[in-house]
Amino acid sequence: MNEFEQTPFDVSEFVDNPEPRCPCLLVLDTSGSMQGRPIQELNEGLRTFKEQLLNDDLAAKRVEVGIITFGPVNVIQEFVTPDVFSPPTLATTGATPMGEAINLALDKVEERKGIYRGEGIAYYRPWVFLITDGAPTDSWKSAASRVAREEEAKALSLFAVGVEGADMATLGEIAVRTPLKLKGLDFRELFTWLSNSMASVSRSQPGDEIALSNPAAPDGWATI
Amino acid sequence: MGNDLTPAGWVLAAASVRGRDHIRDDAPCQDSQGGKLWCGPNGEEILLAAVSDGAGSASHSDIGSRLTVDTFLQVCMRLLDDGRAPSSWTRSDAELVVAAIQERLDEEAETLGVARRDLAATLVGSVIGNNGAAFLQVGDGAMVTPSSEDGTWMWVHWPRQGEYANTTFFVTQDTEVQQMQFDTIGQRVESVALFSDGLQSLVLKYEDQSVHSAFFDQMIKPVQRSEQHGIDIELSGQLAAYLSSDTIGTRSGDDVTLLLATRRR
Repeated sequence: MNEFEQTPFDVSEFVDNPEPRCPCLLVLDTSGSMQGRPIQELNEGLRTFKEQLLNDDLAAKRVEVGIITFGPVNVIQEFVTPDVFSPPTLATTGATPMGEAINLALDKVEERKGIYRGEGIAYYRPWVFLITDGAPTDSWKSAASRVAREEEAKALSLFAVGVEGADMATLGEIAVRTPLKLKGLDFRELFTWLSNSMASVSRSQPGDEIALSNPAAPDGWATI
Repeated sequence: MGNDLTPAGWVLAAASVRGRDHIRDDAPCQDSQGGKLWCGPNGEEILLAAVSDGAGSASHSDIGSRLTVDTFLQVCMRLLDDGRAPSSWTRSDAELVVAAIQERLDEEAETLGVARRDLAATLVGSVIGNNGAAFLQVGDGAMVTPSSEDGTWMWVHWPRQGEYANTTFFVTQDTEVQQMQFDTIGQRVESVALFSDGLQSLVLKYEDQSVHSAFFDQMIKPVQRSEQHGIDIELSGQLAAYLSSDTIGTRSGDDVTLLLATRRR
């Protein structure tokens, strides 16, 4: 494995594929409480995500997936298009340093935008998709105010999803949008929705209103 | 028929067609285009042409784009009536044109009981005289002209997008937000093509910011062969059919507009 291919400075991908990019950064809780079925279903969901993205011609060229896990905080996957994305099998570990993970996520998004701009690649507003079943074990207030600032500047969109046991109140203070509560362990539906939503964003034209299906509808994967 | 005393003037073909996504969603064509010829006291014939793309997210943008084009043409005719050659226009003239469009849109918004932003539309406009031209643009879409050296088609302004690929600027926005692009040249322009963003990704090369010159070489030929003076209705119908065909239609879900104009031989 050539390490250089893993660095964010290798830009040959943009020569082969100059399509505008639609970055989607998953920020996933892999703390101890996710052990067992939750992490298995999440891993299954990631595989569904790749399959669904590859099913859509435009999304397959335009969506870029990145993954950060916590804790400890790790970049598991730099931004890549679905064809290159290899869904990891995540294992559970220690605590829930959500604040640190969010801060890193915002840095990674900013860094990625800088690379797009440098390479003359057009891009869509990035999505940060936070999934957790717990409560932050580190200080999260500065991360929350940074999220609020960047949402205000339309620098990104952050969505927070709580799995059974999540501290929904704190999630509500971190995210500007109302956090969603996953029904059971329906990660497969969640990632199908995420793939469809990213596909809608990636084909939208200037001035378009992007219609996303409501995940909290009766047949959706979430409740509010 | 042209001789030294009566300049040959211009011939145009233009069409706006509904995108397949708009047909599917039963939405109107939100693009508009228009061209006019203005005759000066010395027989000079000046071409005025404009294309406007109404925002998909604005409820009355089909009306907005129509009024944007019409007002652009009217106000520019008035500037020409004042004896101002387009190559001598300044940025503040262009700002006056945009202000007049906004005023017209405000009137319409009031009549319709909606906000100005509900009429949001882009603007790509050219005014081309015998030995110079003025070009004005807000938002995306583009104008291209063949270079006087080797005939390679070149863009006038690269389409102006917001930070994101699905955001752009509209004439309805405040002047400091809309990032109007304006330029004049003191050279003779032989042909021009104006188009909306529905065509832009097919005819502009993003990797090196250039124009697919061969496309416009092909498209301008039938216009050059036309015997008409002014807008060639029949040719415009053929252009509409071509823009709706699978060649273009399946590659762009969005409305597509193309206006082609060339000096008569």
